[in-house]
Amino acid sequence: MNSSEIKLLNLTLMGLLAFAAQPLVVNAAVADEASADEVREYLVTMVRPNQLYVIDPEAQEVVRTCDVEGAFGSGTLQLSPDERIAYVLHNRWEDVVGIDLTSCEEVFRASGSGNSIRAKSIASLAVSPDGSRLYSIWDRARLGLDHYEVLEPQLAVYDTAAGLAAEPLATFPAPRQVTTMGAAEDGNLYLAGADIYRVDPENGETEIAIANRNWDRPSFSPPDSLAMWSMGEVANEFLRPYTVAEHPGEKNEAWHWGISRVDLATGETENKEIAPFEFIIFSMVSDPRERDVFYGVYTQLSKLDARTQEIVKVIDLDHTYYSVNTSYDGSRIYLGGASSDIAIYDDDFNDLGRIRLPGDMSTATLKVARF
Amino acid sequence: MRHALPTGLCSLALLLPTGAVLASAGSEAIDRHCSACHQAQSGPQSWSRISAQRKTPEGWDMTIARMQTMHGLELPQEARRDIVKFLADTRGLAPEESASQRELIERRLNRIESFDHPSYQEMCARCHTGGRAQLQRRPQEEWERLVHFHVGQFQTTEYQSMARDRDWFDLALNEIAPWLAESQSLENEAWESWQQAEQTSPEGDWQLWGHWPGEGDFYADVTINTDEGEDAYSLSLDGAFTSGRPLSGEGQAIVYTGYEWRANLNLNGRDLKQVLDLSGAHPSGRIFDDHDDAFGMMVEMVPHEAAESAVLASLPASLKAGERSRLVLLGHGLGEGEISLGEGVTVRKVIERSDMRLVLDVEASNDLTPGWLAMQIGEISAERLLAGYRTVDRLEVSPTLGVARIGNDKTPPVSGVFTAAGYLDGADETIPLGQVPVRWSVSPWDKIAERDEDVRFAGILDAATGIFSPAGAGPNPLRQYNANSVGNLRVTASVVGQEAIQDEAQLIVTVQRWNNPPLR
Repeated sequence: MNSSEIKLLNLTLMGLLAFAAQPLVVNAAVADEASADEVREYLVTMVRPNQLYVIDPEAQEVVRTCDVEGAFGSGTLQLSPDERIAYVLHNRWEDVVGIDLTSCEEVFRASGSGNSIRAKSIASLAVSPDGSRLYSIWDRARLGLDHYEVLEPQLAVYDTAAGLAAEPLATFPAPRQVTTMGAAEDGNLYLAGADIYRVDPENGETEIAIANRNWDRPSFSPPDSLAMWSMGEVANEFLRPYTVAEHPGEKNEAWHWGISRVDLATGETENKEIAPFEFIIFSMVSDPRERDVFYGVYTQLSKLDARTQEIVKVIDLDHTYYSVNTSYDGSRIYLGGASSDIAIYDDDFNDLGRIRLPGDMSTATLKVARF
Repeated sequence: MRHALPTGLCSLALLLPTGAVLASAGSEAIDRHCSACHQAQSGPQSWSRISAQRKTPEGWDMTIARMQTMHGLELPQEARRDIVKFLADTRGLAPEESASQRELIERRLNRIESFDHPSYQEMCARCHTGGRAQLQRRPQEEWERLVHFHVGQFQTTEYQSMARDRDWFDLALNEIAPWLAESQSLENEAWESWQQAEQTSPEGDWQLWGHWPGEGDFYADVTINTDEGEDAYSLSLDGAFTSGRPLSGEGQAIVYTGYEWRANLNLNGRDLKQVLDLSGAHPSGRIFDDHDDAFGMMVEMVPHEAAESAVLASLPASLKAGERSRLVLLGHGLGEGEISLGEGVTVRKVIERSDMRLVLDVEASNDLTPGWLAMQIGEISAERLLAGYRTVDRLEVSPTLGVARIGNDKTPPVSGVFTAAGYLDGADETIPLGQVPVRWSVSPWDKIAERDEDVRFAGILDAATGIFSPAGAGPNPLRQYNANSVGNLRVTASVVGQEAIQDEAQLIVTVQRWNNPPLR
């Protein structure tokens, strides 16, 4: 009996237990049926200790639970273009595992570690637009008998069809301090590091696409960014929020939230301040209907409007969430990460409910998939 | 010889230089347990990496603990003790080299560090104390390897705040490592000469004193005997608080590097650690609770026998006009002669008298002149040891910034422990009065702390003792965001009877530390 069958059984049992309370019909079998004729929207995330969850946000029910062999971490997720395979950074940031969301089948696994080298990826995962390539950046150290040697980070290019012991097709030197990545439709990779880099994965050629640490903006401080969450699939963009001081140390010092953004459909880049910096935001996505409106989350859920440079709306949450996403129609906002419940709000921040999970999502991404 | 221990003790000295190369249990344990990875090098008792570093006993013990937890080393506890002893003795720090970081070794953590380097604080001392690296000596290659270890083991090091704004790895290798190699080199004169110095044994009779938080000043006779094991000692303590309440206990100690005294004590039923620096004329250090390191007391120790007569300490340091109290004087040659404590002070009763101690019942008159009380015990005079006062001019609370931690059974809380010292501000001179009677209170540090009701949630400050007991750990459903019972508090002391004379400190009550090595 494989893990999906065990979970199916569990869900059926849960359904039976809940039957008296409400006519609950959602289970894996139903979801599979639904996928045959209509596309539905699901939430996908990782939960401690090592489960990938597929969740129906409408029914607010867990559809499928997939055990992923190995230890939790980081739970960074990227989806295949058909949105049926989730690639998860797993096993203490050392393995990338591909899981078929419709069956829980493990279809891909690669590790940057081996041969006395320990490789970890700090949330650096991307999938090519045609789904044939998986990209990761490995921060590597050679573990000697009595000392470590830190090596140059490596961009690894994998064939997604390479199976469960995938070796890279190619590797290229990569900059240090890279976190999230995005793959644009023109084939270029974008890396969030000291600056936003543009990399040609055919040859590893790297250039600065958006200057951040190295920008030439005399009245601004260097930006600070903690970019750990790989959303952006709904608006098809690669987005990194930052905080920055304008006129630092002067009387008119002003702090802002800003964004560096790559439109993954067109390759167009932009960098701009969007609203005052009044509270911490861990992750941010844009509204797919109006991409100058942004939702940010940490201990508050906020809506920022770059057109007016205003914080349009902000609410205190019941606890901290790390990862924010939206439905494809923009009507719902999903909050995950950190603790063990996913919160759902409408776009006016009315509370639509909670989906409780048995473990913490911690640093995991909250992804939206349709199949 | 360099240690000015009195002649009576010199006869007990062990005349073995610490650096002597002898086969020992420690070196044999390294050969057995460590040399598979740390291969023997040319020269006696030399192993890769190990022989290119010098550290405190705590530093070596933390290294071995890391080998066990991260690299799967299996080591009997006895071998761990032997290796730490051997390495601290042969690759330790000279007293001059550890002098600037005694607070860290003594677990006095409520202090703000500063360093003679523009970015060392941000580069290194944002995660651990800067003192932790200051208590190591390495050549440049070893400092570089330490940088490689940090990024190789803790990959997020270069992604954290104050690292992701710069090329951390490059700066660590090319700016920090050379600076450390220069300022903390493996070889230097202090260590060379310390290795040649004759070491003295602490065996004998001593007198020790200090201030026990919440209980008051105390003194004790300490008898130190050699025990089984290299540089191992047993000790017993027999003394009292100035209130007369008895204080007694016993313990076991090991001396590392010829001067680093580390003891486990049980005093009046409480388990405590003791760290002393034996290299000076008067060994001094701290006794503290290993699980609640804020709870501790600075102590000084002098031998019973001494060549010169002197009064060395007065407990308390001041007498208040119009009050009758117990006064304890400690020193040498106090057994004989007339006792005079200065104008306005009457000795009502001599409770105890010996060569090294006077316990007196004294009364300070209402019209006592504030200032130093000139003391005369037989031939011995002490002009600036005991002060008299009517009112306190100024109060100073310490620490000025304290950090307490909420806790539970698994991770015990860390207390806030505050003291308030009084002063007379004269035209020419400030006269310290020591700890004077105060009332303690707590209030919100700022508007945010007031809004979040930190005073209500974070814990309780004892109004009489200045000891803050933090609340229990974990999410608190009564608080916004289910926040833990953390707080940002203003701790105020006001002199009893003189409420306008106040001082205050900040107390941050924060979450647990999960990793609590002896050097933070």
